[in-house]
Amino acid sequence: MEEDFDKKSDEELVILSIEDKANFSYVIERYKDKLRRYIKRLTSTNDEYIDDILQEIFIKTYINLKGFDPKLKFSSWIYRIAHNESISFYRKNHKHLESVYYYEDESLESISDEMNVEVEAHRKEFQKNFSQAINELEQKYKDVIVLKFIEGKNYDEISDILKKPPGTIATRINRAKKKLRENIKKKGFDSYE
Amino acid sequence: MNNMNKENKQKNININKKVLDTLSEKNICLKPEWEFTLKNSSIWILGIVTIFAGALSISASIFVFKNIQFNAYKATHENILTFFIEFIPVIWIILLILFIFSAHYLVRHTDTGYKYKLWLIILGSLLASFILGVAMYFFGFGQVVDRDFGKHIPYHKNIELRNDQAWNHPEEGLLSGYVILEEEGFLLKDFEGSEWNLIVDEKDLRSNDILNNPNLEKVRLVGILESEHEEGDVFYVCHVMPYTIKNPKMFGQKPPRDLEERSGIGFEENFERNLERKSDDERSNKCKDVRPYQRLLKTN
Repeated sequence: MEEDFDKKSDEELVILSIEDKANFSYVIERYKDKLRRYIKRLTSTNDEYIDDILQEIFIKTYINLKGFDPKLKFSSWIYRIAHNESISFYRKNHKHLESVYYYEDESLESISDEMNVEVEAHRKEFQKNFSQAINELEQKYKDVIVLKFIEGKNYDEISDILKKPPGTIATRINRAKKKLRENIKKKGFDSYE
Repeated sequence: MNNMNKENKQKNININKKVLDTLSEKNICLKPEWEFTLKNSSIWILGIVTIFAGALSISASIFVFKNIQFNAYKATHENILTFFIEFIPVIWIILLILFIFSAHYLVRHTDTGYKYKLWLIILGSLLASFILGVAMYFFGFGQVVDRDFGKHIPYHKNIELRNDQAWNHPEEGLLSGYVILEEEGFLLKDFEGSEWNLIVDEKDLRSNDILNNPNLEKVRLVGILESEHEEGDVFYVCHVMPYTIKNPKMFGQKPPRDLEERSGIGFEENFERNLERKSDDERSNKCKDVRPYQRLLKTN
């Protein structure tokens, strides 16, 4: 039975969740890991808070299921809710947050390729510094870097998640890359255009 | 490593259970579809209302600009700058900007409004307001908005009142109002309701020049204040100009009711602007020292 649900599209799961609350567990199952990582990347917060944010995201998602516009991808919609909740949490609590999120190797590889940064020589050091460089970005730049290079979203999806025109997203990504390149340079890593 | 996986698995099971338990315990239900429809429709309706309000501001602005008496600014003002500062329809322009930004805010809050660029939404709203505003102006709404809606806006003076005030300085040689032809001569009723006996000297002004003015239309006069007394003030007329409210169709300007009753002479020909103006040599010396008159002469 569970396998059947696994094969269903997000949109089908939405309809099934509207029909029966219990089916919403399949939506949670599908998105909890992705969203947990996304929240962590966005807020650099501890696990104890992440569960609270995640719970709030799923409750809001459930309450608003009938407002989901099928013209949008469900993943973009739930990421939008996650983004808003995470940012709201971060704004309230960032003064008390001290931890820095260390991005996974494979995530950093996609950004370092994009940024043309030489990493092979000092991979460990690079992971630490690159993570810090991302965390030091302004929130609006961090948002697009995380969504584009770590979550692997395309421009339209990012536009839907952040509710900004696709043109603005493209500009913001370019600026974010430039800022990130500057941050990396300050930490002693060279990149080439 | 195994312990970590177990811990994560436990967390995942927990979050699923926690969410479903919270939904049940707090009896959290789905928001009904109509709430979303209502919210979205309200935003669209408000957006349309703001575009409509912007259109009203545009129609009022067109009406004001059409009725700025630019041809005689030299008579009423020192320079073009002071003239525009006084006459530019600031309130309608400010309201238009406010409405356009409100429309932008509302469009951005619709389901798909965020996809459009700021300038595109602003330009679109402005264009929609402009087209609608021009149409409204042609149906005569410009005057209604400037005069009737304007009454309720603090410190706002409609263009007719501003024109009246600019042309109500008899001591400086400026006077405006409705001309009435009576047996003993010409009378003028100014916008404050005072009546003036007009002296029309053939040397400076042919009586036809006033008579050519369509009956009961407003005129602007340049001249000399001869005397002020209870039986009626006297004003020597050097120059007469039409005072037309340019407003198309249904809401054309009408004279006050009490004046309608005193009419009786029909003037068929329309007033021709500056008809009475003759060469400087033909004029008497009386008008030559009148400041607005001199300045008007310089414009030609």
